[in-house]
Amino acid sequence: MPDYTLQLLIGAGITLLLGLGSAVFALTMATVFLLLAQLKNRFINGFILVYSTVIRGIPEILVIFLTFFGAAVILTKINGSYAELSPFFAGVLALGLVFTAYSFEVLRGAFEATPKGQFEASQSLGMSRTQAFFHIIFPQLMQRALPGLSNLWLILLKETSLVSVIGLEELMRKSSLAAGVKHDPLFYYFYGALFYLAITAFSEIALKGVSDRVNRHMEPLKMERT
Amino acid sequence: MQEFFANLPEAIWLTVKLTLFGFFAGQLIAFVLGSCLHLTKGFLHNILRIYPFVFRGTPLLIQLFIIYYGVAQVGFVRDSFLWIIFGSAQGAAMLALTLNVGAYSSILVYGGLKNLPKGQVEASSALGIGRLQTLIRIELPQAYRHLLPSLSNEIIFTLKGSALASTITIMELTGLTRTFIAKTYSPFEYFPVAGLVYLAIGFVALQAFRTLERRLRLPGH
Repeated sequence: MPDYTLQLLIGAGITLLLGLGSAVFALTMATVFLLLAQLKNRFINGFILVYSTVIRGIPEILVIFLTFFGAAVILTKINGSYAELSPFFAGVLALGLVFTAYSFEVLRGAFEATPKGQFEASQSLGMSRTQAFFHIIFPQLMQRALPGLSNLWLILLKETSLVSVIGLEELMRKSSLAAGVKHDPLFYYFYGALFYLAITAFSEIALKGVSDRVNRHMEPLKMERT
Repeated sequence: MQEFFANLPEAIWLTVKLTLFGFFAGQLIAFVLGSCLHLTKGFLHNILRIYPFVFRGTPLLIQLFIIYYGVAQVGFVRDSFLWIIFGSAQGAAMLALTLNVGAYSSILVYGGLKNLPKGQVEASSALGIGRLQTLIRIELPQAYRHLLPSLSNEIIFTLKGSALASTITIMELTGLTRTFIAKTYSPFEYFPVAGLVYLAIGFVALQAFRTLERRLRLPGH
């Protein structure tokens, strides 16, 4: 095994944690946004539209900087003396905020594609609204949203590397550190890239498993040609 | 703030330059590789897939670092004409962006070609049109018409990707903003300016694509 393999493995672990944390945060927020959008309030919908457009149009790396330095400025004001958010939490917050917008778009698309008549049909069969949601609507929502969400997860995994710029020692930063110490950037960046490839490939297999499970009692979706 | 605004035009120009170069050079790769992926089968097809697999499976940041810091280690590159590209931060950033965009767009072009009805190729061959002619005259124009919306997404990704050039000392929009935030510790002053400029550039790019889509639309579609 090359030197620093253990360090890179630890870095890969932090990368995964960062990705999972951001994904949970983003999915929760996106679900809240989706529920809020059902209120059909003009101000809420306007806010969501502006949020989604703005945050998807600016580079993630800039959002990460703003979150980290912005949080430091605010926390210092509150605290009285210098204080900052840990790079990990700044990363989860920044990537979470960005991917909230992307996940919201995916969830909304899936929700709108699920025929509304099914709610009424379920109620006429004597189901409560909750039952109808969990037994009828939700499985279809998942089936429709899963390809988009899987894609987002793969993008998110790669974007976690940007958090290295605020000093979080995840896979990217660990590769940089090893490259610096051993004076061998070519090898260590390739080595780090190999870890990313492995995580991506493993994710794809896992997501295929999830998708098979979600779709096991479902007919394949008829995709409209675009 | 004045110093920031004095440097802003130069930074915006760098961002636009990196984005346009990366996008169009990437499209050149995608055009060739996407077509080749469509025409090949089996072993050769799998070989061609390695490049997009690797570049879509790893972060742009690490690709940039391999090209800028890693390749500089190889003596052969340092002594050859290749050093013009690998030796300069801008050359490395352009190359990394190009290869990254090329990988993603190749798969888009390949997908666009694959989704066309099979009967068209058979019909052309029945009319005695060669395979290459069919690709150029029949398949590619249709595929690109369908692909335009996806390609407009791709140029936004390129724009956002160009911000990573700031990590290898390039003073484009993000690099400039980052420097001034670090200098003054007032992120809330500079960040909105940079954000607005990115939004404006993205808006112009999307409008350009929309115009192109309208111009290329077939009657009745």
